Amino acid sequence: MREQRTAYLLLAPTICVLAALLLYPFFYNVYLSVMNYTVGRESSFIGIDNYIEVFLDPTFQNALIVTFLFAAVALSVETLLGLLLAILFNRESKLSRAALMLLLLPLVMTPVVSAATWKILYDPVFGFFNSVLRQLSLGTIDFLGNPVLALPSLVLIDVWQWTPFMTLVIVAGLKALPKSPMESASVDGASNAQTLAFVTLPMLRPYIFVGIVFRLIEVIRVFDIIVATTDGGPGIATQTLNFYAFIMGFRYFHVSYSATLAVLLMLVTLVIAQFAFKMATRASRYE
Amino acid sequence: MSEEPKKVDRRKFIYAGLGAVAVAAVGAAAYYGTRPPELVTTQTVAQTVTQVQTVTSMALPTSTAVQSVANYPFSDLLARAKEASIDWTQSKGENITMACLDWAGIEDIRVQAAVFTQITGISVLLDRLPEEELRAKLQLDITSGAGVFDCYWLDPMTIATYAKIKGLEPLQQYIDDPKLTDKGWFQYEDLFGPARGMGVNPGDKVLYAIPFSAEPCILTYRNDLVQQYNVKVPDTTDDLVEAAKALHHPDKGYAGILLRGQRGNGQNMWVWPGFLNAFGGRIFDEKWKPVFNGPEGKAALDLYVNLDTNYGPEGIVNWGAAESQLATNEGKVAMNFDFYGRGLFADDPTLGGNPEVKGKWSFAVPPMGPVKRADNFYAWMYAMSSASKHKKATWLWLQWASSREVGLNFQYQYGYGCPRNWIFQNADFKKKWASPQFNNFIDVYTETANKYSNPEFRPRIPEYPEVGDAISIEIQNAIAKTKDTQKALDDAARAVTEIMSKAGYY
Repeated sequence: MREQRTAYLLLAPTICVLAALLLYPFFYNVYLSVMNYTVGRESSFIGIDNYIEVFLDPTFQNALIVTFLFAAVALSVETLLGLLLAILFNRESKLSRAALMLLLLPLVMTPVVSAATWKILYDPVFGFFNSVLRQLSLGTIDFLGNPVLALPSLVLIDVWQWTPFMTLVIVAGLKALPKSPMESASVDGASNAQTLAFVTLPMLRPYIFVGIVFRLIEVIRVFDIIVATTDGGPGIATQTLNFYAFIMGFRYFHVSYSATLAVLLMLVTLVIAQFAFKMATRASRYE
Repeated sequence: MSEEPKKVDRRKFIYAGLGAVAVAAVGAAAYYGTRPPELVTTQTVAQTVTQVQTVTSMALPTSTAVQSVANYPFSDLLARAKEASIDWTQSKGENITMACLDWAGIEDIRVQAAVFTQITGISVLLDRLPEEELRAKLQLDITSGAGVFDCYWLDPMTIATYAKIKGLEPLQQYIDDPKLTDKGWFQYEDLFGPARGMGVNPGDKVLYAIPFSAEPCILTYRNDLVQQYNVKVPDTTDDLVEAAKALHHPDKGYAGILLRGQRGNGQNMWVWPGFLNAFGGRIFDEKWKPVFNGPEGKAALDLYVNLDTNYGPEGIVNWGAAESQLATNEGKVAMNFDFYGRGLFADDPTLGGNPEVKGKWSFAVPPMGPVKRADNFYAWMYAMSSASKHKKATWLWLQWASSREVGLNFQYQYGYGCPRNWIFQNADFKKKWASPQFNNFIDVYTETANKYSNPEFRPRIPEYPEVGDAISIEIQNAIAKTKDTQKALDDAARAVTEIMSKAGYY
């Protein structure tokens, strides 16, 4: 009992600081979302009016669709590609280790810098991709200016940067797996593909889900890529929820509306993360 | 039995070595970080300003402007400061912080700040920030009243918003205070009229900022291509279309014309409203109803979309300020109607200009529409925070930074900065910028800045950022051909009506 009290006392300063840094901004945000504060105007309490307005806002609806599309496609590709790369590089050789190190380079790059670099690569006049297309007499493609291609082009940037993260998580999982089930399968005559599909992958599921959960929380909040490339355009084709919240607050000074969007984004992220956690927990129960 | 001596473990040795390096690095940083700056007088050039050199940073760049403009060594700047009938040292010992845009010329401002410190005893800390971060930090600082920054580079389109919440300090009182300003020395009226106008809040007609720059849009064109294709230098919007058509040769690596396509109230909405006004249109009527979707607006947008889609570079729909400068630097466009410095910066290899197009940029005044010339104008402003605890010291700095000789030293280097008539009449300045290398820049710039520029070419109201963005999105849609021009304008008008209605205009 005394030890517990001492432990709590020792933890108290850290908890207080964390509470101040995490809880206070959150509750203040919720408070702002029930006001109608715009810089330069009088503010008053309006209850859930902001939330109703947001749900009726076609720009919000568009932002929600863009965000989910971005998240779904990026996460799926990163998981699949990450898995393939992890299986490829999960060998005890210097070449594999060196390849894995190189694979980490996109991960350590600042997202804004990598997005700005990709913007130049995509450029129809100055970009490398279109230079190659012109050499092959295939004309030019305006990747970021085409409303249909813009979002997939941004997904590719995210995939390039964050697939190594999924690879790392899955490689860690592969190394942690016991060898005996795979060896038993091999002894029983299973091929490599069968061992992979029916033995390795089921055991790997918890690790894959952990990676998915972490990436999901990040990819739903995508922002840097948008700001550094399309700024939400062309039109609002790449305007995600987080970006929309940013411009409402910092460009248009609608602080309360921006706070409402932020609260909704947080709730959406929480719900999806909870769901993903449950899936991860269920997946970890294997025999 | 004697014990064997302990062998040094390799791992421990490496850790110890890394630890020693880390301690040495921290110690060195602490030592150099706390040393006061040394005063160094450069000896290499005949007349230079005494520079403050900190041993921990790179040597402050020798201001070539100061070297080349032989009249202004430190002793002369000091003498010039003494001509003012104010006590420059009245706020000695105070420290002020200025937030400013991070770009190539900031190092020169830092040199000027060092000179100011020598004269006044006031130290100036420059916080260099990328544009988006500058705007966000200013918003936080001003709305919270924190007063982290005493002064800043301010977007004049936000003056109305910040003035409303009393976040900006009115400056007229400082200009009128004889203890703080010698009007004959400062010569506020010498600053370009349109630039001065941008510092006045249209709402309450109070002066809140003084201009750092004066930025009209002018037409920058490749004189070699104009000669090669025997094209008339455009004077009207019809001429502009003809010229763009004749100069558009993507097979040879250059497009006819560049007009920004990227969405943003400071991107395509920096350029298009000039054309709108040239066609006799405007954003709002007297009752703040949007009218830009009328016949004049359609004609202006038809022109804009025609030029960009038929004679513009590929990818123009997403091109903003950075791409505009890059394309000009590389000679990828024959004409560019944008911020006046495009051709100047393109001529400077230190600012990214391709030597192949050096000297090939000439300038023309904005094109004449059916009603008037395009009247785009912008000016970054120096403003003071109302929460500043060093207002007098801050005013002394702003006065110094926008004064004649200090402004000249900066303008001389870049052709950009302090918008004073005196500078443009200065013999040294004209010797460089009126030289054949820069063709007709000075004449075109001064004519445009003084005659055609309109600080109200876009409505300077608190709602402008949102209004501007709403219109810019539809302009981009029109350029991307996802909507025809009338539909784009009508959709924009609907969005703007909603914005203004929520803001309580009707």
